[in-house]
Amino acid sequence: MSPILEQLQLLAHAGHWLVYVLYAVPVGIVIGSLAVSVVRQRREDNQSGEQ
Amino acid sequence: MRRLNRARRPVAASVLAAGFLASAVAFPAAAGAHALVGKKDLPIPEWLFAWGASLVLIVSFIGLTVAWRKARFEDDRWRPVSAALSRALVNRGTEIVAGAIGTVLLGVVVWAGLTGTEAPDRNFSLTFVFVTIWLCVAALSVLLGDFFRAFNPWRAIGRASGALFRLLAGQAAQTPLRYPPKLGRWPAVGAIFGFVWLELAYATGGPGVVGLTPRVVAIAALIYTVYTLAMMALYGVEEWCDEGEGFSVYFSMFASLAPLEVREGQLGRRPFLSGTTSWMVSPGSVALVLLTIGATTYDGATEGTLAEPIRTVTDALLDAGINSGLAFRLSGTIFLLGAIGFVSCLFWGGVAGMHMVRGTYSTAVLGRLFAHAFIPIALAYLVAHYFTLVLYQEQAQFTYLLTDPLGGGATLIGETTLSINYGVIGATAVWYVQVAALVVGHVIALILGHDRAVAIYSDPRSAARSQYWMLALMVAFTCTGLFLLSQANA
Repeated sequence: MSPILEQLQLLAHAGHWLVYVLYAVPVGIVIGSLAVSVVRQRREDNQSGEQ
Repeated sequence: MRRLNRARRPVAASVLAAGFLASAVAFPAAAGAHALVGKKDLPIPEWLFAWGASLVLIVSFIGLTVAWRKARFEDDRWRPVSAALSRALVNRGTEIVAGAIGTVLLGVVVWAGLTGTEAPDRNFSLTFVFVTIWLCVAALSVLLGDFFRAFNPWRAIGRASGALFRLLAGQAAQTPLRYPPKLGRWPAVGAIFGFVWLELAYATGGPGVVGLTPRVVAIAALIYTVYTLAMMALYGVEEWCDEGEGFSVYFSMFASLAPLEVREGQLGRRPFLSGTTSWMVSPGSVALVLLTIGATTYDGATEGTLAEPIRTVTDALLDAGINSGLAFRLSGTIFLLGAIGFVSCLFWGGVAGMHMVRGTYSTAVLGRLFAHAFIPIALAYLVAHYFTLVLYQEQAQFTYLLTDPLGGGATLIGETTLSINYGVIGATAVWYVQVAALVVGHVIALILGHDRAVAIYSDPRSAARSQYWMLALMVAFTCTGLFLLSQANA
């Protein structure tokens, strides 16, 4: 199969593999919240250290 | 700062809740379920269960942070039951009977394996070892405590040999070596890895390759018996059972969740889950928990997500000229180790995150301090993945495998026409049980983690912050588990 056809097939089957990504969404949200929390915490720690 | 924390905490829950509701409307199950429609009748798509489960975890986490302010599982709250009840259940007579039953059953496994049919489904040994013992004893240990210790055939043989020696020599047998504390539970980890490797990697069959046969199980049981008895002779029966004997340690891990425990011959009660906090004392304990979760993860993934990659690696090995038996087993071993590695990376990644809380312990210490919270997850994975297997195979175990253990047409306890009823539970009910097991297991894990955090951190804020990482881990494990199950069920 030509490379372009392989790519098209991948897109045509997106309905199959995109659903897998949905399982990762909660993990992404929690880790995202965690990352924001860590960054804010560090910023606040640095600010309180400077004061 | 306190205000910011309070405001931030529900953000993930709110986002997930809003997404959950919107998705339930936007993606009805029938549209997304594709080939699953005929098997299950679910009101929402399977992936939305992962979102719902995550939401439950986040809400539980917030509830724990607000309401669970002091440790409840750290103190030893074991209390003896009445002396009469304890004597009735735990005495020399029951120990001898239980040990004899265990020894006879080990004998039947070896006998059936060596002389019975090679058809795995008709031979007593495979179902008994991999379902009745490996799964049912683990589940029952959570309710009854470490009852396997009484039935442990190797302990019974070791103790009987010691008693015989005392009778003949007039003195107790001295063990030549002292069990090295540094060795901890690592011998047990090795034994359990060997067991799951036999079950999951060695058993991989394929074109021209015979999977696990009853004969192999019998030979493995004999080899393990010789090895275990030798170790007991070197280090002592009880010492080896405490730390080195794989099945004793494995079942004691699940028994640590139980509300019952025997101490120095006395049966006692303790709060449910509280035994886990003191279980992780020996080296190798963390590895055993991760091995258990990793092995179940691998088994689940082979039925869906990993099926194609395993085939690809096997084909590559076959193309490289490796014989088919070795190729199948080698690829199975690679992916089994990969799954255990994946679970270990998730765990240690989360623990490393906890380490970022200022003034905290080293990553290694935190790993030991919080690994007990993953015992309920190991149990949840076992229940979610294997409960249908137990439901089906135990019908065989207590009907035709009991009356005809060799599969040769015998009628030892009468003739039976019963066969496995695969319609005993529907696909929808199976899915709900799997989701419930995973959610309950992970909520319990959050409780145990939070309880430990409250005990070891000086202020509740640090305790809660350390547990953000535990929450991320729990959500990751839940979503991974549900993803693997959905793929295996597809």
